[in-house]
Amino acid sequence: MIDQFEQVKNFLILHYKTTQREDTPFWTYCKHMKIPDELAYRIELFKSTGQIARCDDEIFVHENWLAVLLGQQMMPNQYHPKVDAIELAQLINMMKQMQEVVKHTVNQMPDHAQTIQQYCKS
Amino acid sequence: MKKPIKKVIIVGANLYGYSAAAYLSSQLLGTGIQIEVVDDQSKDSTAITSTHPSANKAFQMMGLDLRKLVSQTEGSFNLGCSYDSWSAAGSWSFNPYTPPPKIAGFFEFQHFWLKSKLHSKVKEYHCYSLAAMAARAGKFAFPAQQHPNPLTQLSFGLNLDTQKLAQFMQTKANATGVKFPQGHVTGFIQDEQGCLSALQLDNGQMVHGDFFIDCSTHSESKLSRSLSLSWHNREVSSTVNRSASMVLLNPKNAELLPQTLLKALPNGWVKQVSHQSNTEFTFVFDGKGLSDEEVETGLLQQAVYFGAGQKHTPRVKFKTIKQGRKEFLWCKNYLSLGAMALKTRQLEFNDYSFIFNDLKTFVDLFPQQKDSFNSLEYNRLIQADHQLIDDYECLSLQQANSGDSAFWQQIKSGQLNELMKHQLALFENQGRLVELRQQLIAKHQWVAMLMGRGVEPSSYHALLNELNQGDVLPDLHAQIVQLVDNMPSHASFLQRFCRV
Repeated sequence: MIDQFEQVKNFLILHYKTTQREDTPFWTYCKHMKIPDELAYRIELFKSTGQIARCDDEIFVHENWLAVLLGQQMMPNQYHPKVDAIELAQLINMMKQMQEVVKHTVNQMPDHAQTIQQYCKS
Repeated sequence: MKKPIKKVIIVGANLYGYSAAAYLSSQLLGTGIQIEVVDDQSKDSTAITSTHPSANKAFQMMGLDLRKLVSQTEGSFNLGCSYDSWSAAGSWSFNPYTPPPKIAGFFEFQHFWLKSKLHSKVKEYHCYSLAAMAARAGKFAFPAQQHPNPLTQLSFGLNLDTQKLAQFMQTKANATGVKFPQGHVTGFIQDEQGCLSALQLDNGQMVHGDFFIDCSTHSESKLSRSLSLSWHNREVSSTVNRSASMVLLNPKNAELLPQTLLKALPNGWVKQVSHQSNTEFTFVFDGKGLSDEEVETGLLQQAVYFGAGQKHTPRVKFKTIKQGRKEFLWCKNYLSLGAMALKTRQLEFNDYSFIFNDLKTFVDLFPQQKDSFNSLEYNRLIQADHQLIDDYECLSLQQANSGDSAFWQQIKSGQLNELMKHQLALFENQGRLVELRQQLIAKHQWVAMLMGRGVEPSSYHALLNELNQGDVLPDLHAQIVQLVDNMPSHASFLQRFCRV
């Protein structure tokens, strides 16, 4: 359990540490504060290689880490060399298609309130 | 901008080197990365190689056809490992790759067995495993597609002819563009940053590369020694330090057991693995307690007992065993793999068992340039994996009750680390296990191993009493007996499988 608490704590600290804000003393402090070594390692690994440290049996998984890191505008210096096996034009096309599918699916969805109204109104 | 990795050199024209080349070339297809295998004159040390079930997925990812692989390498199936006389003279237990059946809720199978044992008569633990019962009876089958039964989903490894498997992998690597320069490695060249840049060959040629993978089977390769990469050894002076092996022809019409057999003897243990044509016996012992002559005589007697039909007196090959694991596996642009990364103790796992696990992690972390941060992540993950295998073997040996000879007394006096002490205590008290990474060694395998050593928990899961369910074990056993009865023998299954 202790390990899991540490992992959750690190994941929470990540949100503050990776802020781009320095407009208030609070955010400036967060951006420059000292953080646990394990978290520093995870951030550095992502920054230099684009890899998320493997997190078996942790509460927060790969997608969670990626969402926060990219959400906080942390752009890695590299990506996996296997991506080069895909032609650039094809890759751009794939990303566009994916974006279209997401956009289309969201457009088809009903309002959140409407769904609650329909399925589980209290 | 640092120079990208465009050429990977694999050192070792052996099973490990060819397997690494075939796997990497299939997984890096289309990236333009060139792979070459260079011979360092290191040879494969076993005649038959057992694979772990996790290799099946790697074979699939490489586009290998299982039927072709099995028929071209004299292959047979392997359902797990049987331990003969490890908890008492004449005892038998089995550690299957297949997990036990799920009965109800989140409770693991051993809790049902323990509860049943407290309240009624129960059969030995392995009697409730289809894999164990089939392996013991020399039977094997794939699950019936017409009447699917979850019990018949068997996980299996393979027992393959090492030389033929190496050839198979070489052919596969060749087909995906891997090159094999002529000549043997004599030296290497490093750049000013300490990265390797080229290998020198005995024909005067130089093989340049951006990344080097050491698959040597020498006890220590030149490359590893010069980079001062140290080994971590659990025991300073281990009693498990020598092995003697021989290969025999399978007697006609003999049963072909789909398993690895480990039989404890007063001064060591014998590992027995069979493929379609041959059986390899490896005796593991303490070279300080027995002479090679004594061991050779004993093994040749075993050959006579095994069956007539041997054309020649078998040759007994001796080898020094030095168990250990590399502390740093990936250093700058050099990676240790296979026997150069982990040396096991000739129990149920071997140095080839997890090679595809390591290779997959390497591909996942394939570096953009020579000196990459990815090495830290690879070392963190694979060191932990290798330590777990080491821990498992230590616990497995330390819990053996195979007699009171000096050899076994010494083995039993082995020290467990804190994690394994905790693992053992938790199991003894409640039949539970520490949550460990399960990709390599599943929870049920720890359970089967401990049960097989006679470690029986004093209680079962407390919440099991809340489950309002009768004893299902008698029915389960009856079903398994019937399923085994209806299975074909392993040998006849193989004959059909390879002929189609």
